[in-house]
Amino acid sequence: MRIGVLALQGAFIEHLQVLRQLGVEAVPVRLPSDLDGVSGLVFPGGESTTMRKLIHRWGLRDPILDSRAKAPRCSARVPG
Amino acid sequence: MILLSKQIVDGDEPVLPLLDVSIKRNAFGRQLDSFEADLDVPMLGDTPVHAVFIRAPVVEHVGDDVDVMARLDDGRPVAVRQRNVLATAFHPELSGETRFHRLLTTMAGEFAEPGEGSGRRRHPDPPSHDAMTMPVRAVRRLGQQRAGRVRSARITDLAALGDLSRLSHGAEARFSDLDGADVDERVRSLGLPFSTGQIRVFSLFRMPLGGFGTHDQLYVYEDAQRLAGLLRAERDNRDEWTIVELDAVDDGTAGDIRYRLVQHLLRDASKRGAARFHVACEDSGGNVDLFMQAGFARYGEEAILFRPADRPLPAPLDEQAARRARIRATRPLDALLLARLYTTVTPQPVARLEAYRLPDWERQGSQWRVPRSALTPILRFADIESYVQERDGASGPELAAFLQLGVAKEDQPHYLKVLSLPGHDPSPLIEYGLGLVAERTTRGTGRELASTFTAGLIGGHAREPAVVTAVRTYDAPLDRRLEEAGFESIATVCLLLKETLIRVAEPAMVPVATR
Repeated sequence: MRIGVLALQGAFIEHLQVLRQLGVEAVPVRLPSDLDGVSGLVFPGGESTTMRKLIHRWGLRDPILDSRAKAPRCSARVPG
Repeated sequence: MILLSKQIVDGDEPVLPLLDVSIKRNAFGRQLDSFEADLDVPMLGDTPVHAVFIRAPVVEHVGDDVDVMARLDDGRPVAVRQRNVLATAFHPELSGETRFHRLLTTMAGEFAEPGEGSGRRRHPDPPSHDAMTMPVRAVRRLGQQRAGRVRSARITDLAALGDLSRLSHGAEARFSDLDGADVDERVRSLGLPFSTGQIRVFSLFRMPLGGFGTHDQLYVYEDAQRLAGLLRAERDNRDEWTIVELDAVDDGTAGDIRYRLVQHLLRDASKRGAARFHVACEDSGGNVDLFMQAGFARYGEEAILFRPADRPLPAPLDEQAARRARIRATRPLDALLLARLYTTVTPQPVARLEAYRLPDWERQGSQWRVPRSALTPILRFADIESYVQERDGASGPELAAFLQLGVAKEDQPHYLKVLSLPGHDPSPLIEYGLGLVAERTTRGTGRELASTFTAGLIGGHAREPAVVTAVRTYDAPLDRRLEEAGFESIATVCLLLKETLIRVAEPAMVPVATR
């Protein structure tokens, strides 16, 4: 199984490390095409305002919503 | 959590409304910005979850379909689950906790199985073609190759660098006159008060020349026979690099130029063994976005406080008065106590990132990068002294406050940095520091010149020098004490950091082959 970690900003490296430690194939997600074949997506904690801008800028919002019924996701806090 | 919630109280539009909760941002308040707690999470077993909260949001309202997995002692939900979405208000990845990730993986497995269970359904279609290609095209345009290139600066670039620097400083001055314009139309820079118009620490001539020193790196962006951008980084002896200037002429592509300069630095510095990169910048002109895209983590905010040159400094404290206030110079033996003071006043996540070691504190007084602030680069041109104030603690004398003083050797403001226990009033120590500045600048040899220059540049007619200091947001009420001592806030800057290598505290513990 492959789990994606949104790697735009924030503590994504730590999430990748924890998932790999569990023996899961963890991949950083930066582009919409990175979402292919991903069963779940982790939103790391970070600055929500910045993350929002980056999600829009890199065109990730719609692809994420499109695949939402398929992919569970986890988010560690997001402050402002 | 904020990204996924359906409603953000007093906030922006939801980004990805997948979770039926309403959220309030930073609702734990300034004092409780960051804290740790052990949470009972029955779903994950008997062992409590050690949770690290950093400026966490609070869940105000939970929809019917949402399960609350964990609550704080006061009943507020901090971990929720709705169908295939799991969200926490804390950082499970920072405390060695793996159970949330394991649960997420299990959930992903369940929902990925086709046709399993009535409530679980696969998405009927793959993401549509349009949705996938349009953003990619946009991305390609962002990263498009321009005609220019990044290279190290040469002595022959001096004149062009001078122009670029003059342009950035001139533009800044022009806009600050208009008051309120925070975006510089002609040149994008880090927006630090000390590298632009207001204080002008890095004067036109020293800036490029300093770049050719052995410890500095100066990169330029060359575009059709002119220089359109520059990046200057300083390196200190711990293989830590600090980006102090990043300017680009803005003809609509300043963002690209600056991003390429940063990427070039990261590549080049990694080859030279750089382990960490620091930058402090104003949160405007896309600065923070740019560094975050380059992989920097934002870990703090600092207010820059400035004491204008025309405010008279207090008279120097005499020896006896200082002894009565229990103020003395630091000694190498204070290292442990200083480290303890620092960890007491600094939130754990910040302390973990800054990662000072005991030897850093032992060199206190000569090793000026500790404690770090947005202004530490100006200490390169200053004489550093440090002092502590003691008080009686539960188990004998303890350090209640620490003062680092940088008496300017060149035309820049003097520097003052205070660490103080929350319950302690460091006002006597601040006054002592200001008194020392007065003493050093009137009695020291050859320093009158520097202070006269400073007064002239700052625009005052007084002969007293200006003093500048930086205060972290979590240092409150230290900012009040400094304002009482004549400081006023002139800027707020973000602190960012990027680590490229995993540092090993005890190299002896690592097998030789991997060293």
